[in-house]
Parts: sequence; C-alpha cells; structure tokens
Amino acid sequence: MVRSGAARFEFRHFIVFDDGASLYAAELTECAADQGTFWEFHDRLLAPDVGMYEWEQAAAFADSLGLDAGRLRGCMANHDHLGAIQAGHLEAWELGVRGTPSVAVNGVLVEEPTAANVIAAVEAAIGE
Amino acid sequence: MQFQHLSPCGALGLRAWRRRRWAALGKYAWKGGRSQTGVLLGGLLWLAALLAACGGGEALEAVGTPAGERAERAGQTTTVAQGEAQQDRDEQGEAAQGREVPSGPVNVDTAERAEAEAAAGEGESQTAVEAEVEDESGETITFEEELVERVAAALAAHRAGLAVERNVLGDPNAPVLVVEYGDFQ
Repeated sequence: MVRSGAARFEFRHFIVFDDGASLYAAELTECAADQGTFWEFHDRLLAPDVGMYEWEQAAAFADSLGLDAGRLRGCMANHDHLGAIQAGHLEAWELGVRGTPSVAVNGVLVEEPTAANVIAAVEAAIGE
Repeated sequence: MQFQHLSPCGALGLRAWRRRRWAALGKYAWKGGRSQTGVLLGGLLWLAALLAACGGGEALEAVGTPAGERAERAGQTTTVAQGEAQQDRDEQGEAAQGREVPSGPVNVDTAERAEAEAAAGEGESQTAVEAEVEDESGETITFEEELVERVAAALAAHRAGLAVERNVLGDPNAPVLVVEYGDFQ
C-alpha cells in the first residue's frame, strides 16, 4: 500500500526504557537522518549485539556509509534532536501510546496491532 | 528436554543458544517483523536463519520474496518513563539479554558434548567475531555478523524504490499515514 502510493509510513520514537540507551538510539537515528541514512541506522539498531551503542561502532558504521562522522558526533553531543524526540514522545502519549510497537493509522491507534489488524485499518482508511 | 544426538547444526544451535545469541537474534527478527519496512520478514527471517544454519543457507535466499502471512506479535513493551506496568519489559528485556537460557540436562555425543561444554564455559566473554563456526560444508562463517548483514540487506531491498524523507517512507502526499511508534531496546 505504501508502494502503490496509497499510504506513507513513518517511524516515530517512543522511549520505553528509561536507561538512556533508547534515547541514545533515537538521537543516533535522527542525527543519521540529517545525512539521509535514518533507515540504515534503524536497521542496524534493531540488532542489539552489533555494538551500535558504542560510539566507535556507530562511527565505523557511519564511515562505511560515507557519512561525516564528525558531524554525526557533533549532532549527538549537541543533542540536536532531543527536544523533538521528547515532544514526539509526549504527543504519542497523549494519543494513547503506552508501549512499543504501537501503530496508528491516520492518527487512530490500532488496537492489538498485529499485521492483519494494521492492514485492515489501512485498507479501511483507504476506503474512506 | 534431552538431546540424544546433536548434529553439527545442533551443536551450532547449542553454542549460539548458550552464548545468548538466539535471544538477541529473536529480538532482531521480531523487531524487523513489526517494522512496516520489514513486512513479512520478522518471523520468516528467524525461521530462515535457523534453516540457513541447518541447511546450507538456501532458505535465506527465499526471504527476499515476501509471501504468506506476517508473523503476529506476541505483545508490546510498555513504557517505563510514565510508570506503566513493566511486565512486558521484563519479559522482553530478559529475552533480549538471554536470561531465559534453558538449564535442563543436555546429552550429546562425547565430542559434541565437549564442544558444547567448552562453548558454555566461554560464557559472556564471547564476542560476535568469536561466534565463528564451521558449517556442514566446512566453510567458516561469522554467524551473527553475516546474519545481520543479510537481514539489513533484505530490509533495504524491501525499501528499494520507495521515496525516503528522513523517517518517512513513501509518497509524502499519500492520503493515509501509518505511524509505527517504536524504540530500539
């Protein structure tokens, strides 16, 4: 449905674990997005054992993608996206998000967001 | 559960299990599965990875062609920041950290048992690089790293051709907006 142009898909951060790592990862992906590689980092960060939570590994991955690691580091150090991430979290909270993964279709949370339920919700939204 | 015979594939599985890799890979596959960009891939990748390890890798080739139903999720991880219940966190967190390693007896052939015990004794000091194993053809592979690379490539292939703007995939003017709220823990 995304490929057909009927829908677009967006990943938003919802910080669950209050241990710093979730926020670090969220900031890292947003800083990577500044250089057009949000999804590459997104994919990597889904694998917890690849060491992306250590800066050296993240920098090495950035290098492998041809990114400006210095710019990435500066973005992280300055917490350029922290405010937006926190604001997004509160917005999600107000929408009713309480855990991950959660899915919303046109601003309406999908209850029990299984694949089938999400597809049904998207199809219903397309039909409206 | 007892294993009267452990094939090389089984030994690989046992070693990986004891190194707390399966739990990590499970979470990886799981999170891929719930990502819209990883439609269908989560459960399939998990199964394909296991089959690839056991069957020479052909199974993983099929992952690039989504088919069938997507793996349904077992539950959500609830937020801690707002003081919500932590039962899902405990469940998923422990799984991610490999705390649910079975402790039951394992009987294997002598050589395989020695290998398994040695692997178990190595414990957490193992790194991903050290997870090198020999598959049934004798080829040395770095199991986890290679799997990560393959999964990342599969996810990237799934996004191929889609418009990308930061964290948004697809036509920015599309009438329907699907938002996944997620975290990377």
